[in-house]
Amino acid sequence: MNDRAPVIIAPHEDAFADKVCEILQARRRTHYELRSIGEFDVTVGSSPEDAIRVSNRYGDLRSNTVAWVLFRGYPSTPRQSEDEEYLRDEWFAALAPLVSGGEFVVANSPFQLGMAVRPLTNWGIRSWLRTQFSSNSMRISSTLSNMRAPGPTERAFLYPDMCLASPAGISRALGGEGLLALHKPSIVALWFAVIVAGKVITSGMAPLDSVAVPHPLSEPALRLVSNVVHDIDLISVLWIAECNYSWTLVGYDPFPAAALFGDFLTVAAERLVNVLDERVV
Amino acid sequence: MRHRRICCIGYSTDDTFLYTVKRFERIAAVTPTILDLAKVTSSAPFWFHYEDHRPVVFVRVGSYRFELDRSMAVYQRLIPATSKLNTGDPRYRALKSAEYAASALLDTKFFRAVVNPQLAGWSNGLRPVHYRELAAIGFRVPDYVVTSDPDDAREFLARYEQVHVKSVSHHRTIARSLNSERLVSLQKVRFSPCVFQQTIRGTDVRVHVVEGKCFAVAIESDVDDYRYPAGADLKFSVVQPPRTVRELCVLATKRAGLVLSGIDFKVCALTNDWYCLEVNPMPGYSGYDMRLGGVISEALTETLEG
Repeated sequence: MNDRAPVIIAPHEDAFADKVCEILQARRRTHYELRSIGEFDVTVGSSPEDAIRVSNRYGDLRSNTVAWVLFRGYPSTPRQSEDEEYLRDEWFAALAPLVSGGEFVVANSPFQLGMAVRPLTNWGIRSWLRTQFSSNSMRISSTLSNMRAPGPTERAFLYPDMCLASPAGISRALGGEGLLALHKPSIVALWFAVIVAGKVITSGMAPLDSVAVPHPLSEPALRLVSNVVHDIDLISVLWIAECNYSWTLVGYDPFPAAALFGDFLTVAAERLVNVLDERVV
Repeated sequence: MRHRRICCIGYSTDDTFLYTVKRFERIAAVTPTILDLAKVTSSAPFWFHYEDHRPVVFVRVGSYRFELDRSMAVYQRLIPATSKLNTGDPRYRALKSAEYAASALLDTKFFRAVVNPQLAGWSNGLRPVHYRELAAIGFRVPDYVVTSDPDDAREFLARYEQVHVKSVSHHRTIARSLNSERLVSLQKVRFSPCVFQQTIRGTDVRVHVVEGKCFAVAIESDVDDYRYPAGADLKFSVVQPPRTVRELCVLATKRAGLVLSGIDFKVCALTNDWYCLEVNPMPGYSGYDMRLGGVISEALTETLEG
Protein backbone atom coordinates (compact mmCIF):
# COMPACT_ATOMS: atom_id res chain seq x y z
CA MET A 1 0.00 0.00 0.00
CA ASN A 2 2.88 2.35 0.81
CA ASP A 3 3.86 2.62 -2.85
CA ARG A 4 0.60 4.46 -3.44
CA ALA A 5 0.63 8.17 -2.83
CA PRO A 6 -1.74 10.29 -0.77
CA VAL A 7 -3.13 13.42 -2.42
CA ILE A 8 -3.65 16.58 -0.41
CA ILE A 9 -6.01 19.15 -1.90
CA ALA A 10 -5.92 22.29 0.22
CA PRO A 11 -5.43 26.01 0.10
CA HIS A 12 -1.85 27.18 0.29
CA GLU A 13 -2.33 28.32 3.88
CA ASP A 14 -3.73 25.43 5.85
CA ALA A 15 -2.03 24.37 9.05
CA PHE A 16 -3.72 20.99 9.14
CA ALA A 17 -2.65 20.12 5.58
CA ASP A 18 0.86 21.30 6.49
CA LYS A 19 0.90 18.97 9.45
CA VAL A 20 -0.32 16.00 7.40
CA CYS A 21 2.38 16.67 4.80
CA GLU A 22 4.98 16.98 7.54
CA ILE A 23 3.97 13.58 8.89
CA LEU A 24 4.11 12.03 5.41
CA GLN A 25 7.55 13.53 4.82
CA ALA A 26 8.78 12.19 8.15
CA ARG A 27 7.56 8.77 7.05
CA ARG A 28 9.27 9.23 3.67
CA ARG A 29 5.99 8.84 1.85
CA THR A 30 5.63 10.24 -1.64
CA HIS A 31 2.59 12.48 -1.69
CA TYR A 32 1.00 15.03 -3.97
CA GLU A 33 0.08 18.46 -2.75
CA LEU A 34 -2.43 20.23 -4.95
CA ARG A 35 -2.44 23.56 -3.20
CA SER A 36 -1.70 26.32 -5.65
CA ILE A 37 -3.18 26.60 -9.11
CA GLY A 38 -0.44 26.73 -11.70
CA GLU A 39 1.78 24.28 -9.82
CA PHE A 40 0.05 21.12 -11.02
CA ASP A 41 -1.91 19.74 -13.95
CA VAL A 42 -4.95 17.54 -14.04
CA THR A 43 -6.36 15.42 -16.85
CA VAL A 44 -9.58 13.43 -16.71
CA GLY A 45 -10.45 11.25 -19.67
CA SER A 46 -13.38 9.13 -20.67
CA SER A 47 -11.50 5.86 -21.01
CA PRO A 48 -10.68 3.88 -17.84
CA GLU A 49 -6.94 3.86 -18.52
CA ASP A 50 -6.66 7.64 -18.50
CA ALA A 51 -9.47 8.24 -16.05
CA ILE A 52 -7.52 10.65 -13.84
CA ARG A 53 -3.97 11.89 -14.03
CA VAL A 54 -2.41 14.52 -11.81
CA SER A 55 1.05 15.86 -12.60
CA ASN A 56 3.40 18.13 -10.76
CA ARG A 57 7.10 18.81 -11.03
CA TYR A 58 7.83 15.51 -9.28
CA GLY A 59 5.93 13.35 -11.77
CA ASP A 60 2.61 11.81 -12.63
CA LEU A 61 0.00 10.27 -10.41
CA ARG A 62 -2.67 8.06 -11.95
CA SER A 63 -5.87 6.64 -10.52
CA ASN A 64 -4.32 3.30 -9.63
CA THR A 65 -1.50 4.91 -7.67
CA VAL A 66 -3.68 7.11 -5.45
CA ALA A 67 -3.65 5.94 -1.83
CA TRP A 68 -6.19 8.35 -0.40
CA VAL A 69 -7.25 11.96 -0.68
CA LEU A 70 -7.39 14.66 1.95
CA PHE A 71 -9.68 17.50 0.91
CA ARG A 72 -9.40 20.71 2.89
CA GLY A 73 -10.85 23.19 0.44
CA TYR A 74 -10.09 24.78 -2.88
CA PRO A 75 -6.48 25.16 -3.99
CA SER A 76 -5.35 28.77 -3.87
CA THR A 77 -5.78 30.85 -7.00
CA PRO A 78 -2.61 32.52 -8.29
CA ARG A 79 -3.72 36.03 -7.48
CA GLN A 80 -6.68 38.04 -6.38
CA SER A 81 -8.56 38.78 -9.55
CA GLU A 82 -12.06 39.12 -10.83
CA ASP A 83 -11.68 35.64 -12.32
CA GLU A 84 -10.91 34.11 -8.96
CA GLU A 85 -14.34 32.53 -8.47
CA TYR A 86 -14.39 31.22 -12.03
CA LEU A 87 -10.90 29.73 -11.77
CA ARG A 88 -11.62 28.14 -8.44
CA ASP A 89 -14.80 26.52 -9.75
CA GLU A 90 -13.15 25.29 -12.93
CA TRP A 91 -10.25 23.67 -11.08
CA PHE A 92 -12.51 22.19 -8.48
CA ALA A 93 -14.73 20.70 -11.19
CA ALA A 94 -11.67 19.20 -12.89
CA LEU A 95 -10.52 17.65 -9.60
CA ALA A 96 -14.03 16.48 -8.69
CA PRO A 97 -13.52 12.79 -9.60
CA LEU A 98 -10.74 12.66 -6.99
CA VAL A 99 -12.96 13.84 -4.15
CA SER A 100 -16.36 12.49 -5.11
CA GLY A 101 -15.86 9.60 -2.74
CA GLY A 102 -16.88 7.01 -5.30
CA GLU A 103 -13.44 5.83 -6.27
CA PHE A 104 -11.04 6.77 -3.50
CA VAL A 105 -10.93 7.01 0.25
CA VAL A 106 -11.53 10.71 0.89
CA ALA A 107 -11.38 12.79 4.04
CA ASN A 108 -13.80 14.50 3.74
CA SER A 109 -15.70 14.30 0.51
CA PRO A 110 -17.40 17.65 -0.05
CA PHE A 111 -20.04 15.90 -2.12
CA GLN A 112 -21.55 14.20 0.87
CA LEU A 113 -22.49 17.65 2.06
CA GLY A 114 -23.35 19.21 -1.25
CA MET A 115 -20.56 21.67 -0.81
CA ALA A 116 -19.47 21.35 -4.36
CA VAL A 117 -22.63 23.05 -5.40
CA ARG A 118 -22.89 25.91 -3.00
CA PRO A 119 -21.69 26.77 0.47
CA LEU A 120 -23.67 25.05 3.14
CA THR A 121 -26.37 27.06 4.71
CA ASN A 122 -27.20 26.50 8.31
CA TRP A 123 -30.32 24.71 7.31
CA GLY A 124 -28.29 22.59 4.98
CA ILE A 125 -26.16 21.59 7.92
CA ARG A 126 -29.18 20.90 10.04
CA SER A 127 -30.95 18.88 7.38
CA TRP A 128 -27.78 16.89 7.01
CA LEU A 129 -27.48 16.43 10.75
CA ARG A 130 -31.05 15.25 10.86
CA THR A 131 -30.36 12.76 8.09
CA GLN A 132 -27.15 11.48 9.57
CA PHE A 133 -27.93 11.39 13.23
CA SER A 134 -31.46 10.38 13.99
CA SER A 135 -30.79 9.70 17.65
CA ASN A 136 -33.88 10.46 19.68
CA SER A 137 -31.88 11.85 22.50
CA MET A 138 -30.34 14.55 20.36
CA ARG A 139 -32.07 17.85 20.03
CA ILE A 140 -31.41 20.12 17.12
CA SER A 141 -32.46 23.68 17.42
CA SER A 142 -35.21 24.59 15.05
CA THR A 143 -35.74 28.26 15.62
CA LEU A 144 -34.52 30.63 13.03
CA SER A 145 -35.24 34.13 14.17
CA ASN A 146 -32.80 36.10 12.19
CA MET A 147 -30.79 35.37 9.15
CA ARG A 148 -27.65 36.91 7.90
CA ALA A 149 -26.47 34.66 5.15
CA PRO A 150 -22.78 33.94 4.90
CA GLY A 151 -20.44 35.61 2.49
CA PRO A 152 -18.84 33.62 -0.29
CA THR A 153 -15.94 32.42 1.78
CA GLU A 154 -17.69 31.87 5.07
CA ARG A 155 -19.55 28.91 6.34
CA ALA A 156 -21.99 30.21 8.84
CA PHE A 157 -23.17 28.60 11.96
CA LEU A 158 -26.45 29.69 13.32
CA TYR A 159 -27.11 29.22 16.95
CA PRO A 160 -30.50 29.03 18.62
CA ASP A 161 -32.50 32.20 18.62
CA MET A 162 -30.69 34.90 16.76
CA CYS A 163 -27.15 33.87 17.34
CA LEU A 164 -24.74 33.68 14.51
CA ALA A 165 -21.08 32.97 14.35
CA SER A 166 -18.77 31.84 11.62
CA PRO A 167 -15.61 29.77 11.78
CA ALA A 168 -13.76 33.00 11.25
CA GLY A 169 -15.45 34.39 14.33
CA ILE A 170 -14.57 31.32 16.29
CA SER A 171 -11.05 31.54 14.98
CA ARG A 172 -10.84 35.07 16.28
CA ALA A 173 -12.19 33.81 19.55
CA LEU A 174 -9.42 31.29 19.75
CA GLY A 175 -7.00 34.06 19.07
CA GLY A 176 -8.42 35.98 21.97
CA GLU A 177 -10.80 38.41 20.35
CA GLY A 178 -13.99 36.94 21.70
CA LEU A 179 -17.06 35.44 20.13
CA LEU A 180 -18.35 38.65 18.72
CA ALA A 181 -21.23 37.20 16.80
CA LEU A 182 -23.03 35.52 19.66
CA HIS A 183 -25.70 37.70 21.14
CA LYS A 184 -28.25 35.62 22.89
CA PRO A 185 -27.88 36.05 26.64
CA SER A 186 -29.16 32.57 27.43
CA ILE A 187 -26.23 30.91 25.69
CA VAL A 188 -23.67 30.27 28.36
CA ALA A 189 -20.97 28.67 26.29
CA LEU A 190 -20.13 27.01 23.07
CA TRP A 191 -18.49 23.61 23.34
CA PHE A 192 -16.62 21.86 20.61
CA ALA A 193 -15.28 18.37 20.04
CA VAL A 194 -12.77 17.42 17.38
CA ILE A 195 -13.49 13.93 16.14
CA VAL A 196 -11.25 11.76 14.02
CA ALA A 197 -12.64 8.44 12.87
CA GLY A 198 -15.04 7.97 15.72
CA LYS A 199 -12.74 9.20 18.48
CA VAL A 200 -12.79 12.52 20.28
CA ILE A 201 -9.28 13.90 19.85
CA THR A 202 -9.76 17.08 21.75
CA SER A 203 -12.51 19.26 23.04
CA GLY A 204 -12.90 22.72 24.35
CA MET A 205 -15.18 25.42 25.53
CA ALA A 206 -15.69 28.94 24.32
CA PRO A 207 -17.40 30.96 27.04
CA LEU A 208 -19.04 34.13 25.88
CA ASP A 209 -16.87 37.19 26.24
CA SER A 210 -13.80 35.08 26.68
CA VAL A 211 -11.34 33.00 24.71
CA ALA A 212 -11.86 29.37 23.84
CA VAL A 213 -9.79 26.91 25.81
CA PRO A 214 -9.13 23.18 25.65
CA HIS A 215 -11.50 21.65 28.16
CA PRO A 216 -12.96 18.21 28.78
CA LEU A 217 -16.56 18.09 27.62
CA SER A 218 -19.15 18.54 30.30
CA GLU A 219 -21.16 15.42 31.06
CA PRO A 220 -24.27 16.47 29.07
CA ALA A 221 -22.17 17.58 26.11
CA LEU A 222 -20.23 14.34 26.25
CA ARG A 223 -23.46 12.37 26.17
CA LEU A 224 -24.58 14.33 23.15
CA VAL A 225 -21.31 13.69 21.35
CA SER A 226 -21.28 10.01 22.38
CA ASN A 227 -24.59 9.55 20.62
CA VAL A 228 -23.20 10.56 17.29
CA VAL A 229 -19.45 10.14 17.45
CA HIS A 230 -19.41 6.72 15.81
CA ASP A 231 -21.41 7.99 12.87
CA ILE A 232 -18.90 10.70 12.09
CA ASP A 233 -16.56 9.66 9.41
CA LEU A 234 -12.94 10.73 9.47
CA ILE A 235 -12.59 14.28 10.67
CA SER A 236 -14.98 16.91 11.84
CA VAL A 237 -15.81 19.29 14.62
CA LEU A 238 -19.11 19.31 16.42
CA TRP A 239 -20.27 22.54 18.01
CA ILE A 240 -22.59 22.37 20.95
CA ALA A 241 -24.37 25.31 22.52
CA GLU A 242 -24.94 25.31 26.25
CA CYS A 243 -28.07 27.26 26.90
CA ASN A 244 -29.97 27.38 30.20
CA TYR A 245 -28.73 23.97 31.30
CA SER A 246 -29.56 22.36 28.01
CA TRP A 247 -27.11 21.32 25.37
CA THR A 248 -27.89 21.47 21.71
CA LEU A 249 -25.90 20.30 18.73
CA VAL A 250 -25.74 23.40 16.60
CA GLY A 251 -22.98 22.97 14.11
CA TYR A 252 -20.87 20.57 12.16
CA ASP A 253 -17.69 21.54 10.39
CA PRO A 254 -16.13 18.93 8.12
CA PHE A 255 -13.05 21.07 7.52
CA PRO A 256 -12.02 22.05 11.01
CA ALA A 257 -9.22 24.48 11.43
CA ALA A 258 -9.89 26.82 14.28
CA ALA A 259 -10.52 24.11 16.84
CA LEU A 260 -7.28 22.31 16.05
CA PHE A 261 -4.50 23.98 17.90
CA GLY A 262 -1.37 23.12 19.81
CA ASP A 263 -0.42 19.47 20.17
CA PHE A 264 -3.88 18.39 19.14
CA LEU A 265 -3.10 19.35 15.58
CA THR A 266 -0.40 16.67 15.50
CA VAL A 267 -2.53 14.12 17.31
CA ALA A 268 -5.45 14.63 14.95
CA ALA A 269 -3.27 14.60 11.82
CA GLU A 270 -1.42 11.43 12.86
CA ARG A 271 -4.60 9.60 13.67
CA LEU A 272 -6.15 10.67 10.39
CA VAL A 273 -3.15 9.52 8.33
CA ASN A 274 -3.11 6.17 10.13
CA VAL A 275 -6.83 5.64 9.67
CA LEU A 276 -6.73 6.59 6.01
CA ASP A 277 -3.83 4.20 5.41
CA GLU A 278 -5.75 1.42 7.14
CA ARG A 279 -8.78 2.02 4.94
CA VAL A 280 -6.88 1.64 1.70
CA VAL A 281 -6.88 -1.98 0.67
CA MET B 1 -59.77 33.70 -6.33
CA ARG B 2 -58.39 30.31 -5.37
CA HIS B 3 -55.94 29.97 -2.52
CA ARG B 4 -52.43 30.90 -3.53
CA ARG B 5 -50.67 27.58 -3.52
CA ILE B 6 -47.74 28.29 -5.79
CA CYS B 7 -44.78 30.36 -4.71
CA CYS B 8 -42.10 31.48 -7.17
CA ILE B 9 -38.61 32.36 -5.96
CA GLY B 10 -36.25 33.96 -8.43
CA TYR B 11 -35.35 37.20 -10.16
CA SER B 12 -37.69 39.38 -12.20
CA THR B 13 -34.67 40.14 -14.36
CA ASP B 14 -34.70 36.51 -15.53
CA ASP B 15 -36.83 35.88 -18.64
CA THR B 16 -37.60 32.26 -17.82
CA PHE B 17 -38.72 33.19 -14.32
CA LEU B 18 -41.03 35.92 -15.61
CA TYR B 19 -42.41 33.65 -18.31
CA THR B 20 -43.13 30.92 -15.76
CA VAL B 21 -44.96 33.31 -13.44
CA LYS B 22 -47.15 34.51 -16.32
CA ARG B 23 -47.89 30.95 -17.39
CA PHE B 24 -48.91 29.98 -13.84
CA GLU B 25 -51.27 32.96 -13.77
CA ARG B 26 -52.77 31.94 -17.09
CA ILE B 27 -53.00 28.19 -16.60
CA ALA B 28 -53.84 27.93 -12.92
CA ALA B 29 -55.88 31.13 -12.85
CA VAL B 30 -54.18 32.09 -9.62
CA THR B 31 -51.68 34.75 -8.79
CA PRO B 32 -48.60 33.00 -7.46
CA THR B 33 -46.77 34.46 -4.52
CA ILE B 34 -43.63 35.93 -6.00
CA LEU B 35 -40.45 36.31 -3.98
CA ASP B 36 -38.47 38.53 -6.32
CA LEU B 37 -34.86 38.57 -5.22
CA ALA B 38 -34.16 41.42 -7.61
CA LYS B 39 -35.95 43.62 -5.06
CA VAL B 40 -33.27 42.96 -2.47
CA THR B 41 -30.87 45.77 -1.61
CA SER B 42 -28.09 46.07 0.93
CA SER B 43 -30.42 47.97 3.25
CA ALA B 44 -33.49 45.79 2.55
CA PRO B 45 -32.33 42.17 2.58
CA PHE B 46 -34.01 38.79 2.33
CA TRP B 47 -35.14 37.68 5.76
CA PHE B 48 -37.25 34.87 7.10
CA HIS B 49 -38.49 33.52 10.37
CA TYR B 50 -39.13 29.83 10.60
CA GLU B 51 -39.91 27.41 13.41
CA ASP B 52 -40.42 23.71 12.94
CA HIS B 53 -43.83 23.52 14.49
CA ARG B 54 -45.34 26.74 13.25
CA PRO B 55 -47.74 26.56 10.31
CA VAL B 56 -46.36 29.63 8.58
CA VAL B 57 -43.02 31.14 7.72
CA PHE B 58 -42.61 34.90 7.61
CA VAL B 59 -40.53 36.25 4.77
CA ARG B 60 -39.35 39.72 3.86
CA VAL B 61 -37.89 40.44 0.45
CA GLY B 62 -36.66 43.99 0.29
CA SER B 63 -39.59 46.04 1.55
CA TYR B 64 -42.20 43.34 0.79
CA ARG B 65 -43.61 41.01 3.44
CA PHE B 66 -45.05 37.54 2.94
CA GLU B 67 -46.62 34.80 5.01
CA LEU B 68 -46.12 31.39 3.45
CA ASP B 69 -47.72 28.16 4.53
CA ARG B 70 -46.88 24.49 4.26
CA SER B 71 -49.46 23.77 1.58
CA MET B 72 -47.47 25.78 -0.91
CA ALA B 73 -45.38 24.34 -3.71
CA VAL B 74 -42.37 26.32 -4.83
CA TYR B 75 -40.94 26.93 -8.27
CA GLN B 76 -37.41 28.23 -7.76
CA ARG B 77 -34.83 29.67 -10.13
CA LEU B 78 -31.99 30.67 -7.85
CA ILE B 79 -29.56 31.28 -10.65
CA PRO B 80 -26.51 33.23 -9.57
CA ALA B 81 -27.39 36.85 -10.28
CA THR B 82 -24.01 38.13 -9.23
CA SER B 83 -21.86 36.99 -12.14
CA LYS B 84 -21.81 40.42 -13.75
CA LEU B 85 -21.13 42.28 -10.52
CA ASN B 86 -17.80 43.07 -8.96
CA THR B 87 -17.32 41.27 -5.64
CA GLY B 88 -16.68 44.63 -3.98
CA ASP B 89 -20.06 45.96 -5.12
CA PRO B 90 -22.50 46.25 -2.16
CA ARG B 91 -25.19 44.86 -4.43
CA TYR B 92 -23.06 41.72 -4.95
CA ARG B 93 -23.05 41.06 -1.24
CA ALA B 94 -26.77 41.75 -0.93
CA LEU B 95 -27.72 39.43 -3.79
CA LYS B 96 -25.33 36.70 -2.73
CA SER B 97 -26.73 36.84 0.79
CA ALA B 98 -30.28 36.73 -0.56
CA GLU B 99 -29.43 33.71 -2.66
CA TYR B 100 -28.01 31.87 0.36
CA ALA B 101 -30.91 32.89 2.56
CA ALA B 102 -33.43 31.71 -0.04
CA SER B 103 -31.51 28.43 -0.25
CA ALA B 104 -31.73 28.17 3.51
CA LEU B 105 -35.48 28.71 3.35
CA LEU B 106 -35.81 25.86 0.87
CA ASP B 107 -33.52 23.70 3.00
CA THR B 108 -36.05 23.83 5.83
CA LYS B 109 -38.22 21.34 3.91
CA PHE B 110 -41.15 23.49 4.93
CA PHE B 111 -42.98 23.48 1.60
CA ARG B 112 -45.18 20.79 0.08
CA ALA B 113 -42.93 20.55 -2.95
CA VAL B 114 -40.00 22.38 -4.51
CA VAL B 115 -39.21 22.32 -8.22
CA ASN B 116 -36.39 21.62 -8.49
CA PRO B 117 -35.26 20.52 -5.05
CA GLN B 118 -32.06 22.07 -3.78
CA LEU B 119 -28.95 20.17 -4.81
CA ALA B 120 -30.84 17.96 -7.26
CA GLY B 121 -28.83 17.52 -10.42
CA TRP B 122 -25.72 18.95 -8.80
CA SER B 123 -23.30 16.97 -10.94
CA ASN B 124 -24.19 19.13 -13.95
CA GLY B 125 -21.71 21.72 -12.68
CA LEU B 126 -18.89 19.18 -12.53
CA ARG B 127 -18.46 17.91 -16.07
CA PRO B 128 -16.16 14.94 -15.46
CA VAL B 129 -18.53 13.57 -12.84
CA HIS B 130 -21.59 14.43 -14.94
CA TYR B 131 -20.33 12.68 -18.07
CA ARG B 132 -19.54 9.55 -16.10
CA GLU B 133 -23.03 9.54 -14.65
CA LEU B 134 -24.61 9.97 -18.08
CA ALA B 135 -22.57 7.08 -19.46
CA ALA B 136 -23.44 4.92 -16.43
CA ILE B 137 -27.15 5.55 -17.01
CA GLY B 138 -26.79 4.27 -20.57
CA PHE B 139 -26.56 7.43 -22.65
CA ARG B 140 -24.11 7.61 -25.50
CA VAL B 141 -21.72 10.46 -24.57
CA PRO B 142 -19.26 12.13 -26.97
CA ASP B 143 -15.63 11.33 -26.18
CA TYR B 144 -13.97 14.02 -24.06
CA VAL B 145 -10.96 14.99 -22.04
CA VAL B 146 -10.83 17.53 -19.23
CA THR B 147 -7.34 18.88 -18.90
CA SER B 148 -5.02 21.67 -17.89
CA ASP B 149 -2.16 20.06 -19.81
CA PRO B 150 -1.68 21.49 -23.34
CA ASP B 151 0.00 18.26 -24.49
CA ASP B 152 -2.97 16.16 -23.42
CA ALA B 153 -5.27 18.61 -25.18
CA ARG B 154 -3.22 18.37 -28.38
CA GLU B 155 -3.23 14.58 -28.21
CA PHE B 156 -7.02 14.58 -27.92
CA LEU B 157 -7.39 17.06 -30.77
CA ALA B 158 -5.34 14.79 -33.01
CA ARG B 159 -7.88 12.01 -32.53
CA TYR B 160 -10.86 13.84 -34.01
CA GLU B 161 -11.63 15.83 -37.09
CA GLN B 162 -13.36 18.46 -34.99
CA VAL B 163 -13.48 19.19 -31.27
CA HIS B 164 -15.55 21.55 -29.15
CA VAL B 165 -14.24 23.33 -26.09
CA LYS B 166 -16.33 24.37 -23.09
CA SER B 167 -16.11 25.09 -19.36
CA VAL B 168 -15.62 22.37 -16.75
CA SER B 169 -17.90 23.80 -14.06
CA HIS B 170 -21.37 25.34 -13.90
CA HIS B 171 -20.14 28.61 -15.43
CA ARG B 172 -21.89 29.08 -18.72
CA THR B 173 -19.67 29.38 -21.75
CA ILE B 174 -20.35 29.35 -25.46
CA ALA B 175 -19.33 25.94 -26.79
CA ARG B 176 -16.91 26.59 -29.65
CA SER B 177 -15.31 24.37 -32.20
CA LEU B 178 -11.56 24.57 -32.06
CA ASN B 179 -9.88 25.70 -35.26
CA SER B 180 -6.21 26.09 -36.02
CA GLU B 181 -6.13 29.72 -34.91
CA ARG B 182 -7.37 28.81 -31.49
CA LEU B 183 -4.85 25.96 -31.20
CA VAL B 184 -2.20 28.62 -30.62
CA SER B 185 -3.86 29.58 -27.37
CA LEU B 186 -3.88 26.06 -25.97
CA GLN B 187 -1.24 27.07 -23.44
CA LYS B 188 -3.98 28.97 -21.63
CA VAL B 189 -5.42 25.73 -20.26
CA ARG B 190 -2.52 25.75 -17.81
CA PHE B 191 -4.37 28.49 -15.94
CA SER B 192 -7.87 27.18 -16.40
CA PRO B 193 -8.69 23.61 -17.44
CA CYS B 194 -11.22 23.05 -20.22
CA VAL B 195 -13.44 20.29 -21.54
CA PHE B 196 -12.42 19.18 -25.02
CA GLN B 197 -15.23 17.19 -26.53
CA GLN B 198 -15.57 15.27 -29.77
CA THR B 199 -17.82 17.25 -32.11
CA ILE B 200 -20.91 15.38 -33.26
CA ARG B 201 -22.25 16.79 -36.51
CA GLY B 202 -26.00 16.74 -36.69
CA THR B 203 -29.21 18.11 -35.28
CA ASP B 204 -29.51 19.55 -31.79
CA VAL B 205 -32.43 18.27 -29.74
CA ARG B 206 -33.60 19.62 -26.40
CA VAL B 207 -35.78 17.23 -24.40
CA HIS B 208 -37.62 18.59 -21.37
CA VAL B 209 -38.85 16.13 -18.80
CA VAL B 210 -41.56 17.02 -16.32
CA GLU B 211 -42.41 14.23 -13.94
CA GLY B 212 -42.05 11.43 -16.42
CA LYS B 213 -43.36 13.25 -19.50
CA CYS B 214 -40.98 14.15 -22.35
CA PHE B 215 -41.30 17.15 -24.66
CA ALA B 216 -38.74 17.48 -27.42
CA VAL B 217 -37.72 20.16 -29.90
CA ALA B 218 -35.16 19.77 -32.70
CA ILE B 219 -32.99 22.69 -33.74
CA GLU B 220 -31.28 22.86 -37.12
CA SER B 221 -28.46 25.38 -37.40
CA ASP B 222 -25.01 25.96 -38.85
CA VAL B 223 -23.50 27.47 -35.70
CA ASP B 224 -21.35 25.85 -33.01
CA ASP B 225 -23.78 26.69 -30.21
CA TYR B 226 -27.34 27.38 -31.33
CA ARG B 227 -28.04 29.28 -28.10
CA TYR B 228 -25.85 32.02 -29.50
CA PRO B 229 -26.84 32.13 -33.18
CA ALA B 230 -25.43 35.63 -33.90
CA GLY B 231 -27.94 36.19 -36.69
CA ALA B 232 -27.76 32.68 -38.17
CA ASP B 233 -30.98 30.91 -39.15
CA LEU B 234 -32.40 28.43 -36.66
CA LYS B 235 -35.14 25.98 -37.58
CA PHE B 236 -37.18 24.54 -34.75
CA SER B 237 -39.46 21.52 -35.06
CA VAL B 238 -41.25 19.20 -32.70
CA VAL B 239 -39.75 15.71 -32.59
CA GLN B 240 -40.43 12.41 -30.87
CA PRO B 241 -37.21 10.86 -29.55
CA PRO B 242 -36.84 7.08 -29.77
CA ARG B 243 -38.45 5.20 -26.90
CA THR B 244 -35.09 4.16 -25.44
CA VAL B 245 -33.94 7.78 -25.36
CA ARG B 246 -37.19 8.89 -23.71
CA GLU B 247 -36.85 6.19 -21.08
CA LEU B 248 -33.26 7.20 -20.36
CA CYS B 249 -34.31 10.85 -20.10
CA VAL B 250 -36.93 9.99 -17.51
CA LEU B 251 -34.46 7.76 -15.65
CA ALA B 252 -31.73 10.43 -15.65
CA THR B 253 -34.16 13.05 -14.38
CA LYS B 254 -35.37 10.77 -11.61
CA ARG B 255 -31.87 9.66 -10.59
CA ALA B 256 -30.76 13.28 -10.35
CA GLY B 257 -33.70 13.99 -8.04
CA LEU B 258 -35.19 16.44 -10.52
CA VAL B 259 -38.82 17.11 -11.35
CA LEU B 260 -38.05 19.32 -14.35
CA SER B 261 -34.98 18.84 -16.53
CA GLY B 262 -33.70 20.05 -19.89
CA ILE B 263 -31.59 17.44 -21.63
CA ASP B 264 -29.41 18.34 -24.61
CA PHE B 265 -28.66 15.92 -27.44
CA LYS B 266 -26.83 15.86 -30.71
CA VAL B 267 -28.29 13.43 -33.21
CA CYS B 268 -25.45 12.29 -35.45
CA ALA B 269 -26.15 13.07 -39.10
CA LEU B 270 -24.24 9.98 -40.22
CA THR B 271 -25.43 7.30 -37.80
CA ASN B 272 -28.59 8.81 -36.35
CA ASP B 273 -27.21 7.98 -32.88
CA TRP B 274 -28.39 10.21 -30.02
CA TYR B 275 -25.47 11.67 -28.05
CA CYS B 276 -26.32 13.17 -24.68
CA LEU B 277 -24.49 16.43 -23.92
CA GLU B 278 -25.93 17.30 -20.52
CA VAL B 279 -28.87 17.15 -18.13
CA ASN B 280 -29.66 20.73 -17.14
CA PRO B 281 -31.19 20.98 -13.66
CA MET B 282 -32.47 24.54 -14.12
CA PRO B 283 -33.48 24.73 -17.75
CA GLY B 284 -34.34 28.00 -19.47
CA TYR B 285 -37.28 26.30 -21.10
CA SER B 286 -39.47 29.26 -22.10
CA GLY B 287 -38.46 29.47 -25.78
CA TYR B 288 -39.07 25.76 -26.30
CA ASP B 289 -42.37 25.92 -24.42
CA MET B 290 -43.65 28.65 -26.73
CA ARG B 291 -42.80 26.52 -29.75
CA LEU B 292 -44.52 23.52 -28.18
CA GLY B 293 -47.69 25.45 -27.43
CA GLY B 294 -47.11 25.68 -23.69
CA VAL B 295 -47.14 21.95 -22.86
CA ILE B 296 -44.08 22.14 -20.59
CA SER B 297 -45.48 24.91 -18.41
CA GLU B 298 -48.85 23.12 -18.32
CA ALA B 299 -47.18 19.96 -17.03
CA LEU B 300 -45.18 22.05 -14.57
CA THR B 301 -48.30 23.80 -13.27
CA GLU B 302 -50.09 20.49 -12.93
CA THR B 303 -47.18 19.12 -10.92
CA LEU B 304 -46.99 22.13 -8.61
CA GLU B 305 -50.74 22.19 -8.04
CA GLY B 306 -50.40 18.57 -6.92
